Amino acid sequence: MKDTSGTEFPKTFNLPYQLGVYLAANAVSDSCAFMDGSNCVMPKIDFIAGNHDLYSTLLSPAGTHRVICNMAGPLPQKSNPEKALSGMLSGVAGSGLYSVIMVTGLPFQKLAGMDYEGIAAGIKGPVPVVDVPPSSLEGDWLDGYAGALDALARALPERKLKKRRRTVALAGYLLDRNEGDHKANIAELRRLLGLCGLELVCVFPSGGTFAELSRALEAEVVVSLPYGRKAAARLAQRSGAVLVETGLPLGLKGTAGWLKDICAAAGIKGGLPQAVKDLERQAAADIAPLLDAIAHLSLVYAGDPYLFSGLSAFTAELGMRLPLAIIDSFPKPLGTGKVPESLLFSPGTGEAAAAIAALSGYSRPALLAGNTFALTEGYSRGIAFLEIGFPSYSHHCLGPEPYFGFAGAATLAGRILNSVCGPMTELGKLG
Amino acid sequence: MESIVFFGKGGIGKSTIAASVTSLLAAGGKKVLHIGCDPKMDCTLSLMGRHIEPFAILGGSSGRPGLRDSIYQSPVRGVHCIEAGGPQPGVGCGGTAIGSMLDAMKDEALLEKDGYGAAVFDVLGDVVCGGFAAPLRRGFAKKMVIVTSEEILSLYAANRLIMMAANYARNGVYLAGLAVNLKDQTRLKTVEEFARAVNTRILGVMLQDPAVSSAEREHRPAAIAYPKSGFARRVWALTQEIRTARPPATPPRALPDPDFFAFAEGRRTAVPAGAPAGKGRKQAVRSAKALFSAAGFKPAGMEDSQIICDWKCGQSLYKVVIAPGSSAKGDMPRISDWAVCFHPTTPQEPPPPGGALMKAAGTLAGLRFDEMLSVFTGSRDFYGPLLNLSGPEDTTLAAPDTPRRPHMGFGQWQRFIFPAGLSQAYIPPGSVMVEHGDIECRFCSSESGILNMFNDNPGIKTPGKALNMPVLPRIDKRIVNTGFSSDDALFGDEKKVARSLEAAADKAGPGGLVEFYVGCSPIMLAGDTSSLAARVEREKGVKIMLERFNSFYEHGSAKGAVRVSYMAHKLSKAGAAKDRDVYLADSHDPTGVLDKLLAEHGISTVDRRKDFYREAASARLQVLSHPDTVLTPAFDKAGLKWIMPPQPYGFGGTHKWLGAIASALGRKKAPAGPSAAQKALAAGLWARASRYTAAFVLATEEIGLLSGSTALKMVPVLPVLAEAGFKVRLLLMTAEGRDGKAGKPGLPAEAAAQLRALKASLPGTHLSTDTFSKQEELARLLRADPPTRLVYSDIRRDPRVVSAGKYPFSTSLFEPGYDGALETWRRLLALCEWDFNERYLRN
Repeated sequence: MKDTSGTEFPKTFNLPYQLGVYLAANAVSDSCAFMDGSNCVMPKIDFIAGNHDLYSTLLSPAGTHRVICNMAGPLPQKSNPEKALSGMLSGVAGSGLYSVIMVTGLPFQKLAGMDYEGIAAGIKGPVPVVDVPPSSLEGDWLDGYAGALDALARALPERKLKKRRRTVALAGYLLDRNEGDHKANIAELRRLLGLCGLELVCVFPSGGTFAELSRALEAEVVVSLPYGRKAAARLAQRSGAVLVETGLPLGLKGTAGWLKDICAAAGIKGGLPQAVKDLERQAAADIAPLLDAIAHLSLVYAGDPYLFSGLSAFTAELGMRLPLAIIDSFPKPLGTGKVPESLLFSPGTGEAAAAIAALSGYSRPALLAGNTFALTEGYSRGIAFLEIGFPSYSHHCLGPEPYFGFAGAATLAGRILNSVCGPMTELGKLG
Repeated sequence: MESIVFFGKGGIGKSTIAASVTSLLAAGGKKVLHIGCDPKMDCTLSLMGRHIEPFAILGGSSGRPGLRDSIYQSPVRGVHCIEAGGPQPGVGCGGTAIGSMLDAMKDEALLEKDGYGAAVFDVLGDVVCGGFAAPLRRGFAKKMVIVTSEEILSLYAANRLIMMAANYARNGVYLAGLAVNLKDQTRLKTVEEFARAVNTRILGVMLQDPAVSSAEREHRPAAIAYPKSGFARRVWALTQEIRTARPPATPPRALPDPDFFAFAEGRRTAVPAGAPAGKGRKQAVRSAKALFSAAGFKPAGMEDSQIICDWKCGQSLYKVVIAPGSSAKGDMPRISDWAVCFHPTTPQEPPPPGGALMKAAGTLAGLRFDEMLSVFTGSRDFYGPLLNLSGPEDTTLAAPDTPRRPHMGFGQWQRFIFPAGLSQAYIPPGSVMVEHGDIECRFCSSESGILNMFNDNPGIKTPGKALNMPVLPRIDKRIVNTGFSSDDALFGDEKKVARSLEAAADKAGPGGLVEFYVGCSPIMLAGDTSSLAARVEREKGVKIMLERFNSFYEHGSAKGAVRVSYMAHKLSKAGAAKDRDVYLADSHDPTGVLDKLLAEHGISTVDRRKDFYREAASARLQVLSHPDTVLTPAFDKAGLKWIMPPQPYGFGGTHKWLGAIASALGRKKAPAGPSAAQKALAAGLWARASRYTAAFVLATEEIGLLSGSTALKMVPVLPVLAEAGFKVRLLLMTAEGRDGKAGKPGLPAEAAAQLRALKASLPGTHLSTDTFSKQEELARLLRADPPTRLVYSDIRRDPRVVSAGKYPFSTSLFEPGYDGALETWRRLLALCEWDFNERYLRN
């Protein structure tokens, strides 16, 4: 009998909502994600701590984990689970261990109608408690991350901060780990904005503390990045800042365009300063020697949609083809990136592998750029692999390794070249 | 904006009154959205004159675009209607549809953006879960109106709804009052007494009126259809009362069930009307701790959701119980929304001073029970007392000896050694598993990975070994996941369950075993999964084992029996010739180290590839590495011989392992020990090992973790260390330390006996002990002893060890066999002689 169960009940290339909430908790060093559910919520931390992020502090040998749960289950029924949760949250808020607490629950608690917003608002503790909508049945990991960032934006204290001229906050940055790639990204963006006469006062979030996030309310311009549009809009609304929606500052033209948009929003006229143009030209000069080696090669992408947008534009800049993208989320707006010939959102893993295998002839990919699961699901069989995005278990950045900005463009182009032309790849092909 | 929500017992006239109120609000010039929150979808019938397509159908389950498409303009001027909708009767979850619709309304800021002047929510009769209370969430209804008659069951429902109103008061919701729809005009007094008892007011009284029936037949709101009727006059007055209602000075208070029934029977209630539930609250909240202290109460913890206090009265100390009113026993004196009494263990001779207790407790009358809980906050140990609120069955979370992985224990100091064995569980080969759960449920277990916190698996990353890392959850020919979705929640999951079970049964084949696990979300739906399983079992000729929760890693007795029976049957039917000596039945070592070792000693092994049953049946002897409650009885039942020899670690252990296997196979000649070259290499390593000490940190009652068949993931760590001449040091945490209290460290008698037994099992080994009661003492002990270079910890790069300049080690460094023993000792010595931590990371 033909086994059709794989088509009706497929394994999908997607990640759960709560993993996004954990990523947000991981990105704010003194935050706590409180999960209303049983301890089966905890192993998801392993997708981040230690495997993707070597410097994660979500778990602690002292027991002061930053993701915690209350062992709530659907059975036995409690007479008033909301009261129990309120009590526990009051305790956590008063523990002195955390500066902000995000509470959310497993899907069954949503079915039970748990009023997290009301419960969170009712906690009168020394630190804010804020709800993240329990949308696991409707959303994916990027929705979870965006929901948590919005919750953090709501949790910022009601303080009147005086906006300063020529200041910028980046809201909706995906800080999925506390490693050198993101540190270098932020340093690069700070440098570039500085050359434009703009001070980067806050990256929301940047791996720092909850208190540091408040500085987003000082900014004259809030830059809305795709991973947290709602949070960005809320921050701008709260502070009265100018809101500018952008994609990711990836690649040469991508970075230059990104800077232009921000400068325009900040009221800076006359185009980008010469120093920035010089950096762009220098990065282009750094990349130029690689172009002959990688131009016209075909690349398949497997990972998050927003990184895809930036990467597709950059690979087009490098002269590469991108016939297929496999996206690990539900459909999302892709912005201005180059749309590939074939685009699969949250496909079955078998369907995705078949789509890659179907690329033949001149479309046969020379490189698969994607996250770890692209590798573990066997998408890269016989194809050079560039590990990028969340998660990346076998590519860690102990030192600076940006992929944003002009410095990031050169670094990323170098990684592409090394992946395509590296000796291991050649040996693998021979084998 | 006016926002009103109507609740009340089913069939009491809620929709009739709500629709008329809506039409009168609109007649007063407001743009009104009438929101039907009843899966029956009949709330808007009179306003629309017909059924309308609900939000659940038009976009409720899959996204937001359907929201405005679901709003209909009523023939009644100024009125718009929307119905949440929901599943067919008896399936799915009606609350989900309401919650989804309100989420969409909130996301869209519908009421504000579309300029509504009033919103009227009409919620189904019997509020059965939080989903139906969704209109009381922040940003929606402000005024709650309970429709009731004078009948006792209707008042009982009203009383329960008042409880709900109190719960949602945090969102700014208040009970405006009661709308009375009298069945018997002579019994209004009953409702009036009830209103007094619960501290609320009557907003209006409706009487039986033929205009209502006529309007219902015409599908029109009675107040509009028959404007001169008595009903219209009364509902107009009700509407005015609702419009002008303001939050009450003291909130209503539901009667505890015993008091309600006393009221219903005409007896006096235990709670006097107007009891001081809210008196002095603001001040009281700020100073709950101070009030407790002033009254002589010292909170000691929680028991079964009740606060336990020590109470000093004169020279005597009593234990007292403060219970929430809703769960207090009938004879407990009530104060505010809680009750107080002496703890059941209190001696009755001499009689405890009840009067004095009431007087002291009376000084806390300004506190509500929830506010009292704040006495437990502000402590780092928030789990300890407050987890009891969830009930005693959940206290394992905070218990000191249960976590098997670090993230399973919270708010507590983590142990250094985690018990072994549980992660070795499996579902029987050849069986098929159906996970009926949502995406979060699918990701509820993961591989630890090579760099994460917990050292889960023996053996470091060695060429040829599989790399452990969290991956996308498996779905393959043996696992079916239903991917429970919001559509399943809304419309029911029966069809999907049936299809998944049929698919699994087809994979398992006739006579096969399907393990069917129902996760938390489907449990909430309470679908009839067992009937479906029984049908598929019957039709497909398979055994389906239904389990709640994803408990596949547990071998409970009933489940174990099914698994044993299935495996024994498959083993018996495998029909393979016994042409090999040994099957390493539970080995997960793809490098085949043990197979090679056995081959070197003339013992053949079965190549482990894919057919467990054929492979096992083709061996004369099954060799197990750890106790298994399924495999061993299955082997017994199938008549297969098995042994569980000492583990092959170290020279001594390896020799014993080989010897036990050879003996079980009837070989007369004992296998040879390590070669001369191996012995020479070992001698060089052992000479260095005697300079160093390996430490183990554990609680006194955990000494047993160091020995026995399940010790340290079945790896005989201490004997291997002892064989090489390492000194061993035990750092024992006393109970005082674990409880966080200061005290003189000591060793309990039982622990001392265990220690003596451990020493006896390691003759010739230098084994010393120290005790500590605080973490700071442990840090000092670790730093103070330079020869101690190694500290066992199952937490990778344990900061408590690293910060002392030492090296954490665990079973992950231990390799089996003679060559494996040499490699193990080499690794341990390399750590001892490595100065990275001492030089750079020591605090």
